[in-house]
Amino acid sequence: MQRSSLSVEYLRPSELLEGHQPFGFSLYLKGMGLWDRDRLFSSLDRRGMLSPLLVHGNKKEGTFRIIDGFRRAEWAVSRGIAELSCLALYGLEKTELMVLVHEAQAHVVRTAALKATFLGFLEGNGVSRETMLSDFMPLLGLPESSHLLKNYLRVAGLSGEVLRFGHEKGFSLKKLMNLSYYREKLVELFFASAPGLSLSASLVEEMLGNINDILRRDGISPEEFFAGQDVAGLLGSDMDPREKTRQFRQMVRRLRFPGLTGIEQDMEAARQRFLSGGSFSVSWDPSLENRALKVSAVVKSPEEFQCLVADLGRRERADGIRAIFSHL
Amino acid sequence: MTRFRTITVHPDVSGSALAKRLGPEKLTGDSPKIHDYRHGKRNLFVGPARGDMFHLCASLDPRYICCSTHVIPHISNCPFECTYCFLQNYLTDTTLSVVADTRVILDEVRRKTSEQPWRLFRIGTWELGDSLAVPPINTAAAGLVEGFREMDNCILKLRTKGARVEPLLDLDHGGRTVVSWTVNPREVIVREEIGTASMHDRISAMKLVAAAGYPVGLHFDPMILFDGWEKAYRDLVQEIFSQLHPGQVIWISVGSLRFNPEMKRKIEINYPASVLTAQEMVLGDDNKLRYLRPMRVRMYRHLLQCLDAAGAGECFTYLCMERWNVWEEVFGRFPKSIGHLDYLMADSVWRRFPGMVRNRPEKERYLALEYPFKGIGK
Ligand code: SF4
Repeated sequence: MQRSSLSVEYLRPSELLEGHQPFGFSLYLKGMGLWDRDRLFSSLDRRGMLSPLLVHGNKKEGTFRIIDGFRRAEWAVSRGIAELSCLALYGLEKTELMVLVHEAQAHVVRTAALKATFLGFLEGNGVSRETMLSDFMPLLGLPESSHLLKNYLRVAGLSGEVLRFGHEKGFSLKKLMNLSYYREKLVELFFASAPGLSLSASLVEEMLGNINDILRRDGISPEEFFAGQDVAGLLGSDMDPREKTRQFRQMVRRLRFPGLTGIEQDMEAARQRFLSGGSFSVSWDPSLENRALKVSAVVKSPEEFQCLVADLGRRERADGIRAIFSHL
Repeated sequence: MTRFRTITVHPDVSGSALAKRLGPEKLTGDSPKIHDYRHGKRNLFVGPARGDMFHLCASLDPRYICCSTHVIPHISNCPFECTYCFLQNYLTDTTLSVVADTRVILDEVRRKTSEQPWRLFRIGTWELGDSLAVPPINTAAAGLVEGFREMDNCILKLRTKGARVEPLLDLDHGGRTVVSWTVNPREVIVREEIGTASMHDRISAMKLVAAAGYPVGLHFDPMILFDGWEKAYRDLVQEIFSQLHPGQVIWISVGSLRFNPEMKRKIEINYPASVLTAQEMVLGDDNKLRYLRPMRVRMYRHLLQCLDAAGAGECFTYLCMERWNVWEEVFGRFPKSIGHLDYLMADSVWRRFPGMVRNRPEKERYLALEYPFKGIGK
């Protein structure tokens, strides 16, 4: 059995940041835009470094690799600090080192998106699936299921932008899986327009699903869809994000369901023309499957009831009901 | 015999006629319980009947006017690959399975149907697969055909997209079996009904069974939209009725593409070249995606016109899994209940196929039938 040992070393941060970083999961998070660099740097400026960096040393080669402390090392470089105190570990195996990497980031790796990112990082660093199953799935609070691991690794293949969005919105694995199913280019272009939109998880699902169906139906590429005059015009406008999202959603829905939205428009027009401002409301099955209208009203007195009856008896009300029924 | 990767026979049925007909390379044991849908299609399991085999069609729903067919799922999974097949989202054990002990099934059917001797039971074997797809499924079906010969308040319904009817042709079927085909234009067969027989072969098989005295059933279901669908369905109807006399067709069912939302993803993964799921469909309160109702009505009306023009207006034609309002828009009327439709079908058989129904169907008895729910969700 290999024996591990530790020592305190004084190392140059600029050298520590050079070359391949086998334990650089934190750099993945940086790449995803999840480092709040300014906040951390100002806190380090105020208090200085309170704990040493954790590094792994290779005695034979005389090299050191950061396990925990990438942000502190970057801060030190930016502030011209020549040397940092580091706690150096020797003789640990890869799995043990990766457990330490996880420990250092455990407070962040809580969402499905980041769990997937972490497992993807392990795979990229040659950790076997068996080890992931037996050692890391439990660490991540996940059951030791190879099917589940396969799904997480599939999600890990999504772009950093998408994973970040999924992390921030707290997407479940299922929701992320749905994203992983669409063409890469579609997801990429959709999320490229996301900063100007106000998106929830369900809205992302709905719109991506609809756009994907439009592409398949019309045989066009994601690039062609997003370059289309109406789509590009709307997404490129400097409208308020909420309003832009509303209009984009409507546009996508119209393109996906031209028949249904056309009928909806006619029915809505009939409601506006004949039934608005009344003392009752009218609704229908939006799928148009059931031939029935729901007419509802609330009355608070016999007088209000009289008014309701009179209102219902007006000729334009009957015209409106007839007009709506003509579509049902 | 179609080449299966493996053939497994359960020890309980190793002495059955069906097992004996299988080649020497068969294994003995329980179902290999294959989970991969496609892989399951290539591996055959011949086993015993498990649990109750005779029940009402699972699509029965108070929201629709259902034809209240009964089913005996003596096969499970299917060697064909229809892109829209619901089995891809339904089966857990996907091994292509056939029940060998026909006698057990027949005993159960006899026992249960004898409780209502006045009623005509239409009993299908296609709930979980194609009744006649390939040997030995079609030979297993032949065993049922012979068993139904003496059940004079039952009609066995075999339904296929194949053309392998040879085992049926020389049987003494006693006129108690209907052989039915799901039919679609060439464009649909090629793109969406992978591995099934061409329409030409299906029609040739129809002629063979009709000549052998079997009534033929036709199922224009699922109708599918594509560019040129109107002409394609007109040509299809003409092609069928240029070869078949309407008097040989006992009933025609009509329906359109439908599936639940979970199936959508399955179809897209299993058949990425199919664009069926990208068509304009809406989700109803029965959790099924369908073409927009006005579109469906247009499709059904068009098909009825084609049938009328081909002289097939006399055939009993009904809608599958549709609501009363769609019936009304298509036919101008609708059965008052599921029992009422059951009666109308029995009555049509009584009038058009003398001898198939023992006594004239009594409307009141059918109307009084009780289902696991009350009335139609109108
Ligand atoms: S023939 Fe029927 S059971 Fe077979 S794949 Fe097609 S839809 Fe499924």
